[in-house]
Amino acid sequence: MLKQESVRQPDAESFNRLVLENQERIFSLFRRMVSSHDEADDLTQETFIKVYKNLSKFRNDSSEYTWIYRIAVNTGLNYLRRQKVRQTIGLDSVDLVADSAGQEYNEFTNSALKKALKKLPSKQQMVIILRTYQGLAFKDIGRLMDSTENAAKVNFSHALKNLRKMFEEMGVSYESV
Amino acid sequence: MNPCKEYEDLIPLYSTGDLNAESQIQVANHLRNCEACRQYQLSLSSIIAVMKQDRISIPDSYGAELVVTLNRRLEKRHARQKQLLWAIPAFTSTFAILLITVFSLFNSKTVSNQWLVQLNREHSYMNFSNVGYFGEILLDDDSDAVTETNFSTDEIVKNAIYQIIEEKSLPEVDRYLVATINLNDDEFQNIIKQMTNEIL
Repeated sequence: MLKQESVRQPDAESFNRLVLENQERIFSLFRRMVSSHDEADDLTQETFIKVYKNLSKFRNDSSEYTWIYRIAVNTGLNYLRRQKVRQTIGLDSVDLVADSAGQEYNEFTNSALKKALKKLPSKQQMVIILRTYQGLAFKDIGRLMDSTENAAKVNFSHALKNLRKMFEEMGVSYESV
Repeated sequence: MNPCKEYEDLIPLYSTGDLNAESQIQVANHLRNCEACRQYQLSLSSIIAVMKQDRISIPDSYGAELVVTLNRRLEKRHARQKQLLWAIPAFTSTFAILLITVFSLFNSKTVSNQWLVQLNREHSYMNFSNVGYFGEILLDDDSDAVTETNFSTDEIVKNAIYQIIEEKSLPEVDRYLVATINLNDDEFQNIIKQMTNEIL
């Protein structure tokens, strides 16, 4: 963890350290949201550019990790909202019909899961990723999303229910998982 | 089979261990007695298991590559900002020069218009003084009486010409010459008849 004083100065060395310390978490957060490595890389870069621009505004109210994570979550939510708009106007389509031909069972289930995740409302998708993949507590998720712990829990419950419904529509059987 | 309504929202949190101890026990007891909710809980646990199995791999070199890429982007950004620092004063001064030029042009046009109005006024006075009959043409002392809107030079000149021609104290030759130069044919013929009658 960097010292607060070094973070305030937007010098190359402290910024580079900040990137190296947080890149893995930030990249994996975005990698869960998008289909390709390049898209996740773009979002990671966008996050760290925002971090650089706002280094002087960083205060001691939270840890650097929380502060960077909050920027990443906002960047991710904005991305998901843009994607929803594209889906709504038909530029991108997420077909819920999973193609099982030529795929191993796990491959098929993973593909179905990715498709189903993309169909979730942006906040539900973000909560599922933060809780299940990133292992964050609901209290932290609420804080990161400018919301409450309870709101995060409600979003999580709804997300799981929706995923289950979509899995059923795609014909994924839970017994074999 | 659908799960019980009152447990539908609790079971997802039970599956991840995020309920408080009391609720956790309550849901566990319910699951023992409710087949629909048990199936529901199993399906949710399976989905969570699928998610946890799905691992992503990040190349070891990713962090270093990211640092290099970000530094390159930031250098470009700084270069653009430096260019902008030069461009803003340059643009501002160009704009200011342009503004001053336009203002000067507009101002000189206004001045020249005022000068023309002044010249017209002076010219009209000169016309009267040429005639030499100010007493006949009544002008207010206030010079504003002669303005661009109520001033008709032709009419005044015409009146002044007729006053010269009809002035009997002047020599006939002078009156004749003024009539020849300034009147059209019909007016000239009328004046000649008038002068002939005066002489005869």
